[in-house]
Amino acid sequence: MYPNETRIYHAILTGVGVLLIFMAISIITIIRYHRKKTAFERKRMKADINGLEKERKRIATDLHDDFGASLSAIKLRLQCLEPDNESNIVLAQQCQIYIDEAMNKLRHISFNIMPQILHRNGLTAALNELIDMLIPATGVKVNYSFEAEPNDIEKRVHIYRIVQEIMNNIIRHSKATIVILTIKRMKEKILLHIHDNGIGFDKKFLSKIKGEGLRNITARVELLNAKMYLETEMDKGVDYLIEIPEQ
Amino acid sequence: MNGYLINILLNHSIIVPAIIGVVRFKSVAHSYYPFIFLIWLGLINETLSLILIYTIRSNAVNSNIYVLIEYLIVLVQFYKWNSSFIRRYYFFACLGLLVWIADNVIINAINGNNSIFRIFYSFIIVFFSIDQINKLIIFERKSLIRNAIFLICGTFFIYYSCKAFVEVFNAFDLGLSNQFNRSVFMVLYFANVFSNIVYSIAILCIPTKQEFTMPY
Repeated sequence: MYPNETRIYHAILTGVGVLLIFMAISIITIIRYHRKKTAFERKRMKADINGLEKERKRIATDLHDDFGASLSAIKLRLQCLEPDNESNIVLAQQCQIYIDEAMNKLRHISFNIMPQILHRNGLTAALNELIDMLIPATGVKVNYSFEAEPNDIEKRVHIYRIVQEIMNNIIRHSKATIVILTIKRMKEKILLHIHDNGIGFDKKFLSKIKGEGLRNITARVELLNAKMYLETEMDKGVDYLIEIPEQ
Repeated sequence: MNGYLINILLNHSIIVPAIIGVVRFKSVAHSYYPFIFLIWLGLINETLSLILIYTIRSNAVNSNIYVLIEYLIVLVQFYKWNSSFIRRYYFFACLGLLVWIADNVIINAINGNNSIFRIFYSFIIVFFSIDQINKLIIFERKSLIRNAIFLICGTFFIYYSCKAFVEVFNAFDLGLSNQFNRSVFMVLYFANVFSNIVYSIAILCIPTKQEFTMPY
């Protein structure tokens, strides 16, 4: 190389070096701020969902304890009516039937908002009850087995909500007749697997889906530090697999 | 060790990601296959170039064909990552083909060291990489440092920027000595080694199945 060329070459190397340093700094700052943004979003999401669950629990308790108790009291008072008039007895019996219906609906609503059984008896019991409620109402056949139960109550609530949301999606949109639902433990992970034989959907149009269902599911999956795999094609059903770390 | 041998070794550093690609091929998500094919194709081209340099003293023809295939595979890879906007990829593929024909058939001969297409495709790949990185910054919910797409696109960004820069010296006949041109190309060789190291890490980070996420 001629001396002049050497100087140009050194200038080029310096220029390239400076540019590479700038690129490296850009990439490092991108990673740093992305990490901060993700942590912030996660914190916000956790606060939102926990707030929502707290509020649901409060409403469910109020409905069950206050409103339910009031209805029971009315029913008892009706039973105390003197049978002096035949028409009054019929009226009282009709009222009791309406009150029973109202109490059933109340139990149903309260269960949907926050199943007390989830806190009392655990996830398996709550899911059994959820399925028992869904099967007669929809005609969908659910083959299920639950072999794992997380210890953490927050985890139980998230898993329960995920299953509830997926089952709601299946009932509302999939036209499925059979659902397979399993929860099992594998290598320090809880595997939640749900498969339906419905109409499926094209993942390309996912961004156009307006419902909040899938968004809620992914938010909870994220809070569980879990991984979710969704396989679907038109007319081939939907397969959800969620890997939840136990720790 | 002479300079020529160092160049051969630096260029053959692609063997590392290629081997990792072979080992992990069956377990990685299908959407990353074009990238692994690209790595294998790169290794084949490097080996072919070495053989041709020793036999017919020129690797220009295979290199000119290789850059076109490389460009098309990278476009397929970007399409696999963003399955919408297929027309955009068709447009850039056709445009690339036209530029390649202009560069290697109309303006220059295919057996020459042609740079117009190389500069063009470097710009397009850098453009798509920046777009992909920005998309990840906005939509990705997990750490970027172990994200295979981020590692690959970040490396594309650095490597093809260097490539576009270096090819400019070749595109304009500046009347500089061969030694100067070789030294300038050394920048690309080192960028190549760096890229191959990151590609190896990226292949190790490719998920076995594509995780499902929704944008915020």
